[in-house]
Amino acid sequence: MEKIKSEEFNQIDQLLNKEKTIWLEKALEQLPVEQKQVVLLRIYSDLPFKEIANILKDPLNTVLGRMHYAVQNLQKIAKEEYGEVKNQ
Amino acid sequence: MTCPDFENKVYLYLSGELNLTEKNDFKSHLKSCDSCEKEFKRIQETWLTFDQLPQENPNPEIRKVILKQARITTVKTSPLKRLAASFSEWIIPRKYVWGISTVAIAALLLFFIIQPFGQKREDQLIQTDLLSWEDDFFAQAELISSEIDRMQSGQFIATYNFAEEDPIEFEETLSPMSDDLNWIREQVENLMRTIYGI
Repeated sequence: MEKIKSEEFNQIDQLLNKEKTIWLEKALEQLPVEQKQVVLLRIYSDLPFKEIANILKDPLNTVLGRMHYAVQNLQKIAKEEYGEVKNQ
Repeated sequence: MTCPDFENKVYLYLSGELNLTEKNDFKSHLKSCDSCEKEFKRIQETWLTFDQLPQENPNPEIRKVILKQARITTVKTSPLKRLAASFSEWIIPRKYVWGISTVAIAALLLFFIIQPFGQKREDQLIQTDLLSWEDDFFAQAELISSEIDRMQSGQFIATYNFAEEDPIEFEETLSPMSDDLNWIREQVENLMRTIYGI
């Protein structure tokens, strides 16, 4: 019984994850280009921030600042669409 | 570590780019600072969502955005890119660069095809030449094949920089180039099959 429940939870998890991925890809489109660049290079290309700073020829702090703004903007977009989500 | 440092350190921490001392400083600051700890949890939640994105396989629209803003900056590792970069330095318009590179590779292949058959030598010499030619050919074939793989995968994007002066032109040259690369790979494979029965 517990096994069936955990399989159900897994399926729900997978669906939620898929939904999140679709949402995130759409939300990324709304970010300013320079923020999107940093997120895409870090996440899709799996490059460390120091490497991204080298590629973009920007100071590391600038790159990290853009990442911070990107995360803040994504949180803002999520809040606008789904309302405040409290951490448990 | 202080609160003003948090904003930058948090991403390096999540990215695993802090050394052990920095990591411990970061953690102990979180324990002593409620507002940073709260902010950390919010950021971590978004960061974990990133983990669900597929690596090296962005959707075509996102890929398009990357390609549109890309330009070559790293030419250290790739002979093909070195070739392309040297053409760029001669101020040849980029739309011709890949075409010229393709012709150069095709000429190289042709050279390898013609070389062993175009010269009559003594048996022993031929044997030695063939051995070295085989080595060269395999090395070149492997190089070309791995270059094609790299260029058609996400790694290609990673070696490119942003703020392309004329991104649209770059994107236009990339698509036809992909066909050229596939053609070269096909020729290499055919050649291997013909000569070695692979």
